[in-house]
Amino acid sequence: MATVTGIDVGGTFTDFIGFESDQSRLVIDKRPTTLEDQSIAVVDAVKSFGLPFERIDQVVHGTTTATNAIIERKGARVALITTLGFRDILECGRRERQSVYGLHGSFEPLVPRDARFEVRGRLAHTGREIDALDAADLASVAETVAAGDFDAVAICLLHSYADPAHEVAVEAAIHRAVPDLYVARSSTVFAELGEFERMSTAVISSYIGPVMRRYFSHLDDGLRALGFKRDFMVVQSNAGAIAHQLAAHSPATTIMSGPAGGVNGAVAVAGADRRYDLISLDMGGTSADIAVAVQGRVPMSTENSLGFRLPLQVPMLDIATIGAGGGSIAWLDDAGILRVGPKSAGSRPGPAAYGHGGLLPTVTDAHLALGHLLRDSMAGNGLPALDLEASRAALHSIAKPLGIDVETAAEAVLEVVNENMAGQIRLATIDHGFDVRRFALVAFGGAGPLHACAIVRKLGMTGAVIPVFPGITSAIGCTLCDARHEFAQTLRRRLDDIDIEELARVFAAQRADGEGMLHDQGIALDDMRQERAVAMMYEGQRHPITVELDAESAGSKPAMRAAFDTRYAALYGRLLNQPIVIVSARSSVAAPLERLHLAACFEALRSDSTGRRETVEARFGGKAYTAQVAPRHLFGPGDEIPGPAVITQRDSTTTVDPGFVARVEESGNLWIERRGA
Amino acid sequence: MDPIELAVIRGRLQQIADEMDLVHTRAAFSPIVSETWDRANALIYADTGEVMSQGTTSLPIFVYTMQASAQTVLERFGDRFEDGDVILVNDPYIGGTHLQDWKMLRPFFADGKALAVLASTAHYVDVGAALPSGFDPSASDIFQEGVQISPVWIVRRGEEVSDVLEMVLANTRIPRSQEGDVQAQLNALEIGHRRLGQLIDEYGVRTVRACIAELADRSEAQIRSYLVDVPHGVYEFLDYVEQGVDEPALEVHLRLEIGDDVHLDFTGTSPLCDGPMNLAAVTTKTAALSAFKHLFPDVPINGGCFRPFRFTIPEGCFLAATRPSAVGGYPEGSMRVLESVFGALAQAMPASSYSASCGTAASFTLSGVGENGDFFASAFPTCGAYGGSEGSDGLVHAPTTIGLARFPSFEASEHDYPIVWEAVELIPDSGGAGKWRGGCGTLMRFHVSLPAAVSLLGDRAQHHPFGIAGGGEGGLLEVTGKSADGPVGGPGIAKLRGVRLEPGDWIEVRMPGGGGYGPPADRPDELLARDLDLGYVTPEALETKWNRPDPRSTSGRG
Repeated sequence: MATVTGIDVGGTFTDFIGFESDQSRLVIDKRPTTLEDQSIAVVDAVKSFGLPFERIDQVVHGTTTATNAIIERKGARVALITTLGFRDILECGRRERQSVYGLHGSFEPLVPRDARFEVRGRLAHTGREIDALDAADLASVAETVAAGDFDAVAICLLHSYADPAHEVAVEAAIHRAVPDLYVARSSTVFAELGEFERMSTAVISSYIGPVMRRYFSHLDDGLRALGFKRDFMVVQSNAGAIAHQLAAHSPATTIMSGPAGGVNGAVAVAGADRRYDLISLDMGGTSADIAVAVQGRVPMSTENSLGFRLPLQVPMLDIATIGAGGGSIAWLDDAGILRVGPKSAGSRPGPAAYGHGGLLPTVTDAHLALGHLLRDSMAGNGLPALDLEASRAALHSIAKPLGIDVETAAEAVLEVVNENMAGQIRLATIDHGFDVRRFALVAFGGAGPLHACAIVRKLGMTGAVIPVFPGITSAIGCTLCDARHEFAQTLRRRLDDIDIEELARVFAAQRADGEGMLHDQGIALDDMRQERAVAMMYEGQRHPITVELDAESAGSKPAMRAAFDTRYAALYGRLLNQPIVIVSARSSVAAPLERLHLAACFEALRSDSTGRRETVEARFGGKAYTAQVAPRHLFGPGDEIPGPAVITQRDSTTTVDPGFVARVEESGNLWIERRGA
Repeated sequence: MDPIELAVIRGRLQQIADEMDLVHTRAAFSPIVSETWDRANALIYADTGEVMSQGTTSLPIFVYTMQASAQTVLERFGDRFEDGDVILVNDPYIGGTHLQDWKMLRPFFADGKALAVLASTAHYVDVGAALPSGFDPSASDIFQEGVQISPVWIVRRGEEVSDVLEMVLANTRIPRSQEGDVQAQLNALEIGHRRLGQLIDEYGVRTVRACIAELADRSEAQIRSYLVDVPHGVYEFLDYVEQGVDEPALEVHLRLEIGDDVHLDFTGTSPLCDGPMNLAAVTTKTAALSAFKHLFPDVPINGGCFRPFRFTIPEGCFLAATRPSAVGGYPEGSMRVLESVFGALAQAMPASSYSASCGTAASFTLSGVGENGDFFASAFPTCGAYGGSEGSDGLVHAPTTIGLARFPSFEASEHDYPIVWEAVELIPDSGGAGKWRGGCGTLMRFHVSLPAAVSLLGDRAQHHPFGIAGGGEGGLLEVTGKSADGPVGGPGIAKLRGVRLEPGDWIEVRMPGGGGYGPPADRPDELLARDLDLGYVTPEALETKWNRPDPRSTSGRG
């Protein structure tokens, strides 16, 4: 038996789940995030488990520390070392501006100009040395860095993806001069073509690296002080967990740690009902994270951006975040058209309903005014009763200029925020070339289950899965992560010119590397597996597409070509009669950790039998209904709940709209679909 | 009008154009589209020929030019513009800009009637001009600038018209990648067509039509509400477009009259020139309208926001080019037109206007025969800075004010072409002095590793980017280099034609900086000290451009 905990730290709440693998014990907890030091709430959450820390075997952590450091510009003081003549690349970017229209606004790079240093030495695009690395330049830069007040160094030289030798030499010189300094070099963090993106990735790594290392070691101390004896694990942006010491070495891979845990949870939870083609919708207080899973797999993306001129190229689950949450503010633009978000009332002052002085109408206010949320809905999160009159007054401020009543305005707010999310889902599916109508929605996060029916209806999806604990699905997702490592080898050669045996050797080497890394963390390799993919495109294109390989397509070029054709046609339509290039060969090597049995969640939920079925007046689609309202734990497998209904639980509220029916699955998940479907 | 449906349909029309942008970029072959994004996609309402939405990453200059192209095609083809057709056109006198911009138009039918035209534009690097890539500073008529495509079917009732495609590709030196780009554009139109169909299925033609009309009316009302705040009056501005070193500069005269409507009068502007610096009238209009979009960025783009504007562009002036005038240098004149609006409005409402950007695309092209024996041809938009504005220094290394095109990765361009970059750095003191400083221009230097020809079509080598509200001017464009035939460029030179480079020969382009905003005396000490610390301003310039003591010595710092 093992004892496992998962913790997801979000911008508003820290969510926790702890369990024993023999299903004898399961505890959930949700408490406000301690923004000044996230580890306080994390340690407190683990304490809520009520077990001595020495008995806990595993802590898996999803964190937003890295993201916050960037947004708040509270990262390390970084020195950048680059090729002579190119220190301004970091500030110049790719010649873009913030928005199509309007020329206002300048840009502050993460490293100011006087902390960007140059060394002589140049490679050609093939990796051939044009000019040797200048020893005197290097010595002088190392001396300057040593004398300066820096926490970290980023190294990015031109064409280092083709040959890292110069970068390695620079790193060695810095280590000689300042042995303990945090160093990120571009050929390690992302060894691919594109100097600005690679430089930005190295800079972001060194900007957050010391912050992450400090936070991890602080949390490690906090947990060990109470008796925890292992190395806690950190969820990476690819939904793989790694030991925190390793995560501190590649901090840029933890940027989307929290959202990745959520998507991982959504896929696992829906998998229990044998649903694998999914749209994951994690809707919290300020934003919604949206991802697509096909056959239970979430595509990866390496083209990510943390803001204007801040690209970050590390493999991440392809998750889009939009400003649509319970706290999103509704407003009228200058043309008098209703908009919702991206601004959020956050947790302070929060929606008008919270009674903390918020006067602007939010999505939460709209739900309260329509009877979707009950006055005590937020009690589970430690909030007082919601203030209906405050919500109505806030909504009145937009209803009046629109010439409609408060209820209609509330429905309009929901319609617009639902359309915003549906729009992002459409973009996400087109991005990957899929027809959204064959997908099921997994709606979670505090606000997600209130929007499930509307999104399903809007997009013509098959239905929606509502997890047993929608509000802590991200923390559950942390405990369901595999240990995982990603590898990429650049090839950039025509498919016709590549020997299939050579490709097999590349994949074998990646497998061996992954095995070694997992073994070093003490992870059992019995169920280790390798997923293989190639990035392919027509020769001359710039945006490769990722083609997943199975045993057949990995072993035969015609099958590989056919797999490419299928993907390409789905994405863009027309196939071309042009040579195909393999840009890179990629592997993901993973092994499972001790996992939560999802059935234990349902048992824990059902252990409560308090409360009863009642009715409430609620509005849906412009009509008033008397809707059933009941605590979720009263329903057992096979029970059907016809809409309109409001299903309450501590961490979330679910609405079943008229025309929909919710069924309790064996797993305990709710499956909501259109009646008669 | 149902406010909910209006809000939803507004968002959806935007999204369709965004999806077209996305597919277009991803599927494209030429770096100028896939890396640089020199392209645009839009939806146009068939009844009025007005744009309904434009992709978020689409170039501003193409919006109104696609609208003009669609209007011509609708009028000229009438009933012959059928479901499943795609029309190709690059005629700049119809659709603006220059021959490199290929516009494709596909109608969308609902209830047997054209509801919309889906439009897509992309830059095609080589269009068969005497000079590869077509940016020819000595072109004296359009026939020297490339193949002209009058509106012609490239897809007819769903069938690709392969003889037309083969004909246009036969007129380029790089047919393989440009064929891929044509397919990418067709893919973008396809996705737009599919998405618009889904919208109609959901809401019905009547509702969508009503919303489109309402959205245009709202945009018009919104921009008028902003114009009301501009003090009524007449504001004039004069700026220059340079030709050669020995030829007189062309004058752009703008007389901007703000009343209930806005009247832009270009009377007094220089006559047509012999070179390629002319603009078709449609280009002039789109450039001026883009200025107002920059000034009032909140107004959703659609035909409604263009309604309050009237133009007088006298026949025979270089801003109303007619066949067969050369127009290859249109980006330069377009920016002069656009920023003349800023200059004029700075007199009325300085705090809402902008000082001049670097004001030149200085597009340089490199061509020759690659290691594999094939032709190569490339076009690089060089990078300048924006001017200061109230509350903000100018952005460095920014796209042109008429465009949005990015710069390709330097490493990638070394893979694609025999070019070796030596330096890319910001030029101290090139940003105009002011309370809010103009951004510094960028220096870009490269040499070639194989024989190649380089051409450059730029401006602002003699006439500085202007500052407003008392701000100083930005630095000038400077081009230098070494070629097979001796030194290249020099003071006042903004144009190169087919300069022969041998391996190791080099070119350096120093781009202008942006103009300053407000008196240099008003820049806070700590910001000026930081400019000095970071090397955006040198101590020498304190005396010559700022008339300020070193704030670091007065405040006791280094």
